[in-house]
Amino acid sequence: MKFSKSLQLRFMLFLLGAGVLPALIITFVLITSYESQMISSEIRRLNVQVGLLSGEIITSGYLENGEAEGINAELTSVADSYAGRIMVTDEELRVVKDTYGMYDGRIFLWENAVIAMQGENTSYYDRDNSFLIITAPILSQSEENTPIHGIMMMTESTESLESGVEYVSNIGLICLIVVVLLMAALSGLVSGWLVRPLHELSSSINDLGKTNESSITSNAYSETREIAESFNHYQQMMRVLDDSRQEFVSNVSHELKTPLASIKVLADSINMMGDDAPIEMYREFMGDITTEVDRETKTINDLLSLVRMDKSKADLNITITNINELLELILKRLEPLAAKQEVELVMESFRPVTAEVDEVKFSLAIMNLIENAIKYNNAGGWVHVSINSDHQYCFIRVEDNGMGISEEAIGHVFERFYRGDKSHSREISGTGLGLAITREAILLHHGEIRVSSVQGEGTVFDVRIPLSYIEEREGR
Amino acid sequence: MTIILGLVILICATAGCSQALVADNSSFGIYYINGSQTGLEKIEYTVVSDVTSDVIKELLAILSTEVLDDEYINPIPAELGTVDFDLADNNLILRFEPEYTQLTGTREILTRSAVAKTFLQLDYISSVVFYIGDEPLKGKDGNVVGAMTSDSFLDTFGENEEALESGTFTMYYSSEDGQGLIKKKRLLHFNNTMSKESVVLTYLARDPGSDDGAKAVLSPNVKVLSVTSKDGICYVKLDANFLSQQTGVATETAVYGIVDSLTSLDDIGKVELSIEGTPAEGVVPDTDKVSGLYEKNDSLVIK
Repeated sequence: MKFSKSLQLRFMLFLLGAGVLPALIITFVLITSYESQMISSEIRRLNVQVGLLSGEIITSGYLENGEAEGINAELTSVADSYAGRIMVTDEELRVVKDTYGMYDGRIFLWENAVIAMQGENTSYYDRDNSFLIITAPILSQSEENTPIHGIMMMTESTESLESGVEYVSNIGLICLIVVVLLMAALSGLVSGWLVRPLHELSSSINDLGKTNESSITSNAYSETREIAESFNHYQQMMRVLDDSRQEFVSNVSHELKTPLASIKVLADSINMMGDDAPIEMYREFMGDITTEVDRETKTINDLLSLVRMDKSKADLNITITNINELLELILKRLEPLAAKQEVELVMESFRPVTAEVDEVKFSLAIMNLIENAIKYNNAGGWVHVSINSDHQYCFIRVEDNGMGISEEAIGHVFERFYRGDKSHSREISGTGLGLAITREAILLHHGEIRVSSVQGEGTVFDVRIPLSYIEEREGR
Repeated sequence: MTIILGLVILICATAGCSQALVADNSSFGIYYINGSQTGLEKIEYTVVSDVTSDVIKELLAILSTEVLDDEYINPIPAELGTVDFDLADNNLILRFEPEYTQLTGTREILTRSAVAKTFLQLDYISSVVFYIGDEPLKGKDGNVVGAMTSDSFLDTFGENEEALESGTFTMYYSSEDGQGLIKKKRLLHFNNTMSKESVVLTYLARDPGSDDGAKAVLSPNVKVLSVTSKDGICYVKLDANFLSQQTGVATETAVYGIVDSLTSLDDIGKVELSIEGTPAEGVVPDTDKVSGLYEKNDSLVIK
C-alpha cells in the first residue's frame, strides 16, 4: 500500500499519538485515583463511625449484658443512614446483632471477620453488589493492649459513589473524544503543511524538463535546500558528462578523419600526377599511406579497448597473479623499444607481490605507463619501475627523467585523446588514449593512479591496487 | 463453523449459570484452617470406613494429622491428646482433654468450627457439641457454647457466588388481568448482603414464571430509593416511575402486592409507602393517593 509509506501519514499518526496518548494516560490516572480516593475516604468515614459505636458498646457493656435497647436502635438507624448493614459479634465471633435480622446467633467465619478478631481492621469493596464492607475489632480506644470484646462489621452502599465516578468517567471520555478529534484535525493540517515543500520540490524537478531553468531552489527547510543543491550539483555533473561525451564524439570523429584526410591527399596527389608520377614517388606516398592506415588502426584498436573496458566491468577475469613476473614480462616486451630510444629500463622489486587482477587489462595499463615513460624521454635517459606492497595494497611506481608534463597539461593527461605538449604530438606516435585506458583499467581494479611531474626533469606515476579484489565497492 | 462455536459458548455459559445459583456443597471434604489462620479451607476427602464409629474415628484422626503443605493447618493440634465421642439422636458429643483450653481466641473458634462443619456433613449427625471431659465447653463469659448445627455458621460474605443464600418467602404477584393477587410461597436465592425486604422487592419485579399467569407487580425501571425497617414498620421509597409503569397491573393491586409480601416477613407488621420525584408527563400525579401507611389486605387475593 503506497499510502502506508507516506511521510505525511507518519507525521499525522505521530502527532495524533503524541497528543492522544498523554490525554489517555491523564484521564485514566485521574479517574482511577478519583475512585480510589473516594473509596478511601468512605472507608475512613466508616471506620470512624465503627469506632464511635464500638466505644458505646464497650461503655454500655452491650456484649456482656446482652440486649440493650438503646444500642440496638442506634445500630439500626446508623446502618439505615448509610443504606447498609451492621453486624456485631462477641469474642466467640457469634453474631449478637444483625440489623438485617438474618444471622443472629451464627458464628461468623468470614476471613475478614477472623482477621478483625485478631486485631486488624479490614476493608473490602464488593464491586459486583456495590457495597463497601469494613470489619473492625471492638476494643477500648483509650487504653493499650486491651482485650478484643468482639468485632463489628459495617457495610455501606456505594451506588451513589459509583454513579459519581461514572459521571466523572463520562466527562473524561467526552473530553478524550474531543481531544482525539481536535488532534486528528490538527495533525492532519500540520502534517500536510510540513510535507508540502517535498511535493513542491518534486514538481519543480518535474518542471525542469519543460522550462529552460537550469536549477531548482527550495528554501523551505535546510534539508530540502540540501536536496535541491545536491540535485543541481548532480545536474551539473550530468551536463559536464554530456558535454565531455559530445567532445569525445567529436574528438573521435576528428581522430578518425585525420588519417583518412592524409590518405586522401596522398592518393589525390598520385592520381593527379597520372602517368607522370615517378616510381619513387609512388613508393614514398604508399609508405605514407600505410603509416596513416597503421595509425588509424591503432586508434581504432585503442578505442575498442577503451569501450571494452567500459563495458566489461562485470567481465573481469580475475586470477591470482604474480605481479613481479607480470612486470618482468612487460619489460621484456618493451626492451626493443627502449633500446631504440636509448633509454635504460630498470626494475626494482622490494618484495614478491601476488594480487588478484585481470592479467590482460592490468598488463595493458602498466605497459602504457612504461611505454609513455620511454617515448617521452631523451636519449640516455632512464625508466625506473618499482614494485612494493603492504598487507592491503600493491604499489607500482613508474619514474622517468624525460620531458615531463607542464603544469597546465598535468590535470588533463588522463583525458581521452589528450596529447599534452602539442608541439610533440606529430613526432611521438600515439593516439592520446593510452593513459585513459590505463586509468580505466586501474579503476576497474578499485585502485588509484597519481601523477606528478616537473617539466624538463621527469615524471612519476604511482599506481596502487588492492591485493584482493572485492566485487561491490561504492564511489568511484 | 461460527454457528457451532456460538452454540458451544452458549451451552457453556448456561451451564456455568446454573452452577452459580447453588453453592458447591456436593462433595464431602475435610475442613482445614488456612495457612494464615484467618479462615477455613475445605479439601475433598473420601471416607474409607463404613461403620459409623469407625468413620468418626477416621475423621478425628485426619483432623488431627499434620499436613505437609503450609497452606493448611490441621484443626486439632496433636497436643490436645485423644478425643472421645458419643453419638446419640444425631447429636455428636466430642470430649476433649483439659489441654483444649490452651486453644484461645480465633484459633479456638476456627478449630471448633472446622471440626463441627466436617462432622455436620454426615447424614446421621445434625448437631455437634464440645465437652471438656464431662463438662460442656464454656465461653469466656462463662456461658455454655452449646450445640452447633449447619445453621450455626456464616461462612462468607460479599463475594458473589459463594455468598448465595436461599430462603422461603411468601410473595404476592398480580393475576393475569392485573386486578387480583396470587399468593405464592417461593424458594428464592439471594446474595447475603441484601436485606430480606430488598429481596422481596427485587423478586416482585420479576415474573415468577408459573403457569397460572402470575406476573410481576413492579416494573424493572422503577427504582427502589430506599427500604428500611424500624419497629415493625417497613419504609419503602419508590421513584415516580411507579406511577407510570406499563406492567398492565392496576396501581392498587401493585401496592398491595408489595404490602402483603412485605408484611409476610417476620418482623414487619405495616408498610409505609412513599413516592418521590416527579412523575412522567401525561401521568396524573397520584402521589398523594399512593403514599401512605398500609396494613396487610387479603381482599384482593384470588388464589
